[in-house]
Amino acid sequence: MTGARLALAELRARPGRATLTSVGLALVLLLALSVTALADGLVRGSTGVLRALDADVVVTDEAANHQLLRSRLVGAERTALLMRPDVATAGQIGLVPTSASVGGGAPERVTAVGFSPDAPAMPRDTVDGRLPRPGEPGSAAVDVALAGGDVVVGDTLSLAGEREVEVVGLVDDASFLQQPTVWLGQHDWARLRQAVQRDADYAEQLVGATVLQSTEHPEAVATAITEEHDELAVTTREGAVAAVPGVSAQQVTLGAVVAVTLAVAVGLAALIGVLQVLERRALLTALRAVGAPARTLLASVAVRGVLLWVGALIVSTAATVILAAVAPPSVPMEVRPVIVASVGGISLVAATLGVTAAAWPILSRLDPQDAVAEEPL
Amino acid sequence: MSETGVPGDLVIRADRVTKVYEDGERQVTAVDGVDLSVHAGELVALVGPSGSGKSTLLALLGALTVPTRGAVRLGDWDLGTLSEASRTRLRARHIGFVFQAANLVPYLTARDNVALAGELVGASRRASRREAEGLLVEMGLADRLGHLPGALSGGERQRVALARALLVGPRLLLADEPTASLDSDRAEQVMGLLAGAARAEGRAGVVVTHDPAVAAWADRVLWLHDSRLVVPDGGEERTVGEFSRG
Repeated sequence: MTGARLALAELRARPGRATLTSVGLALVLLLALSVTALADGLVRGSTGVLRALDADVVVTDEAANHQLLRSRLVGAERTALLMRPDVATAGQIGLVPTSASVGGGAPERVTAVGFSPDAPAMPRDTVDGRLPRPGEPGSAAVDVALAGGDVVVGDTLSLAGEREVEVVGLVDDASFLQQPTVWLGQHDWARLRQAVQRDADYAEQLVGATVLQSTEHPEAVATAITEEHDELAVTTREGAVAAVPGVSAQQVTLGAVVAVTLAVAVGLAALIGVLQVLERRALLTALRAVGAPARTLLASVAVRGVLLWVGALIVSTAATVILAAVAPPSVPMEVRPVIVASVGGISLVAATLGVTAAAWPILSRLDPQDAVAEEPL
Repeated sequence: MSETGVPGDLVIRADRVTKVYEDGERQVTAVDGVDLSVHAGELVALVGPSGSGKSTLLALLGALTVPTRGAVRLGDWDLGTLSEASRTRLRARHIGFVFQAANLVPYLTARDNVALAGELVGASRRASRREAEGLLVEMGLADRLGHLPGALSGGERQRVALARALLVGPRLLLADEPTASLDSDRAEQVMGLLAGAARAEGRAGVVVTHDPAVAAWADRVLWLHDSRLVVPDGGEERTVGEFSRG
């Protein structure tokens, strides 16, 4: 407690210095948070379709190797997989890149998602309206991101300049490869696919991937199906997310940038901690002489570091939120609480460890004898 | 001496204490075979030229370092056999220090600087602050309780440092050039308080100084020269007058 009180007293006595230090750390943290938010936005913008589904296992044909766009499975696999005891329900989805315009506006690149009326193939939630019903042609549920968020239930949507559908519902966070999605029933999707992929055979069915809700651990189910079906590539939803083109590269690249940024921030925090210890060396030595244990002094350094870091986190989070708000819609920056919590939590622990690890060798070697006037040796 | 003029209980004793430092390949003897006893109610001054070993001897008596040879005993404790952690606890509980620079925590008020000594031995903050207030009032600092060290004069800072040294009721009070940075009036005031505190409550005091005026406050003046006591403790010591004459 004494160490914590010393730290608090110092911060109270020198608020300007504490603020300056926190702002300095906040600049580095702002970089870490912004890059993390960008990475998160990029990945989420590419994988919303998979996260929107209530499925935990994704089946593609072997050649597609977990990639939804390349898979050419038809309904037969769904029927076969439904027979398995480790599969609760199954559905079919198909994806087609195309364009859409709202109310005669400029066309926008979208991904049309056809879905069978089965739980795992349907978006879990709609933010407004509903999903197209089976046997209800000419209707669609669309991603709220379409048309800059200006689309509403009742709008008419022109798909690929050829087919018009009415918007009956809105879904959120369901984009694919940074494009908004348009969710269509089987009939509309099949006709759209033939219109945009003229070399594709017309079939009144969904061509794409099978999605499952398993009754056992998804990884075990995926492994079991893979072992029994050479022609299929089966993975968990997380595996399918990682297989979306670009996602792994984005995660690795931006993850490395975030890691380096955090390492720099932690190193900076440790450096500041060491400088503060060195700056107070005479005082700390005197405190050691009058009976303050080194761990009490370390506690004061650590608490001061934690408080400065928390201050930096607050400043950097506010700055990142403002940055995300003023960034153009094309910048996929998402400042979710989980991002702030994870970056903040990890960096706080790392910074505290960094500060204490850097300060301890100095504090533990303070010689209390130095507190009395030095004798020339 | 105690107020009755009779030596009180032995508080600290150094037996043939030697301290040798390594300086590269050279060995430097800072204190060489010093014998010393200080009794309760007694204030002893250690004087001598720079480099004579005064501060090292003070550090040995204060458990800031351990002897290379010989023994230092504070009560029943042989300081040389204690671990660093034990010596730290012992300093916090039984030894009060007043340094040349007050070495107060610059961001704690006078009251909290003094109370810190109590908190270091596990006393509650409230009780420590209450004790601190009482001591600071005794030191004539009633109107300075909430001031930061930067707002105090040099003499006031040393009085706060003295209060900090006394808060836990130490058995031994050690002072290293406590008036070096003070003018004569303030030095007189600080030494009056320090000498009174060193002799009170069965305590013993040792003060290192270059200043004859400070040494004049002591019951005994011990000379160190070339790391040795010129007049061994128990022998005929120089009087203050002799000391003053150089």
